[in-house]
Amino acid sequence: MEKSNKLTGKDLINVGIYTAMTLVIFFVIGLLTALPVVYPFLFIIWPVVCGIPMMLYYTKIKKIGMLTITGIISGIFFYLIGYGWIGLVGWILGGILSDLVLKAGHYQSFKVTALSYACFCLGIMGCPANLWLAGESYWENIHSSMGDQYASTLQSLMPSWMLYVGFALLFVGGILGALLGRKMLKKHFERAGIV
Amino acid sequence: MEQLQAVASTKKGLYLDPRTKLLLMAVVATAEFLYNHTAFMIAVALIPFVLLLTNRQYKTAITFFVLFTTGLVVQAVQNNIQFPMVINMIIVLLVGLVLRLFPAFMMGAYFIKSTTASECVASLGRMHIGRQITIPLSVLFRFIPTMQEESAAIKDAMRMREVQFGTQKFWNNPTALIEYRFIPLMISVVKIGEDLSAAALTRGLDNPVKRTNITKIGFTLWDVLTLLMVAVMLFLTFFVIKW
Repeated sequence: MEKSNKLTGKDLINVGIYTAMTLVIFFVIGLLTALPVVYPFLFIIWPVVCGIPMMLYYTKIKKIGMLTITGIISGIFFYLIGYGWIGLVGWILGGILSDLVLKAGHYQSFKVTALSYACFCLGIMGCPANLWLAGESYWENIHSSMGDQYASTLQSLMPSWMLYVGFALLFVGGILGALLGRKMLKKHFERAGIV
Repeated sequence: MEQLQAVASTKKGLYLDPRTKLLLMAVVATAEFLYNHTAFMIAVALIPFVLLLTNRQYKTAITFFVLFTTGLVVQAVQNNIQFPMVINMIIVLLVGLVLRLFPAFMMGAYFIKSTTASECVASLGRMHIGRQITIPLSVLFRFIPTMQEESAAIKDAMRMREVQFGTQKFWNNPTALIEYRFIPLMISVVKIGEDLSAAALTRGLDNPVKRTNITKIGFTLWDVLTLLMVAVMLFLTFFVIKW
């Protein structure tokens, strides 16, 4: 955290606002599409829709550390609602990675922003990664708590290569989300005088 | 000598330190992974239930109780009956959601209702967590209710234009729902946020001096009793009573 010493109060309030917005939207979409059949599509839907608030957020970011804090807070949130330490680590890593990418690109071009957001989206993988990384005990848990039929469906939908496909989908979704977010910024927010 | 009090510190009944609440939240969230028999599940669910009752959130507590009991009953019978694929999926998912995640949600509901923002900030400060985390967190807690209010207002307004889930207009153009609901919400939230940061800055948020806080927090007998009871209950149900 020593890098973020320069963050002012205004930056920190911005972090709070946009983290709240992104988390709520993320959570609502997650609940709307809670069937396991749509799990693979979530990898695209999440980054695309969350692209709108995140692009607005990116217009406020001029210092390193803000995305890391967003990652930490989101990670704690997902730990508390039951994704375990893998969810926590995933979000924090995504936040740090996107911060570094943005820092390397000097906060200037849209390309860097899109790339950074795509990296941030990779952190989302922390949530479903339990399915592969937490091992057999997690599956036994699902078998006992959700019933055998659910578990076998989930298992057939989520073979081990899905882990890598998931990363790819999230990355593509991140780029698409950044494009959608920029379109929305141009269409609505610049007209409303917010950006 | 008469003392002037800026904070009403006369809390009646069971009152817990925010740090205890955070610990209990972490315990409930972690316990969700350890579910292996019904007694333990009930014990975990009892924690938020009792806490909600002590905070007089009766409506939430009763809803939780009804949902959780239904979930337990459905889970007990679900492996004996074969439903069609899709219905089974939905039922299983709802039951899983209720049994597994609702205790943590209810802890969250209790935490947010029973803790004021300054108590939260004070206790996080005692835990030596820097302002990089405490300020965004307190803003986050302040904003989630605001977003709910704004969202409800926008929903009412949009109903006039039939922008809601399930209408003919929605199916013609589903992305309109995102555009017409999220974007006004985001704009109003950003505006409120700008006002908030202006207000906070005039009150010296950027002052480098260590902030003080007059809110009284501290561990009391209640914290010890609650933690002891929770520990005994969880230990007994996890290791001793297995059914």
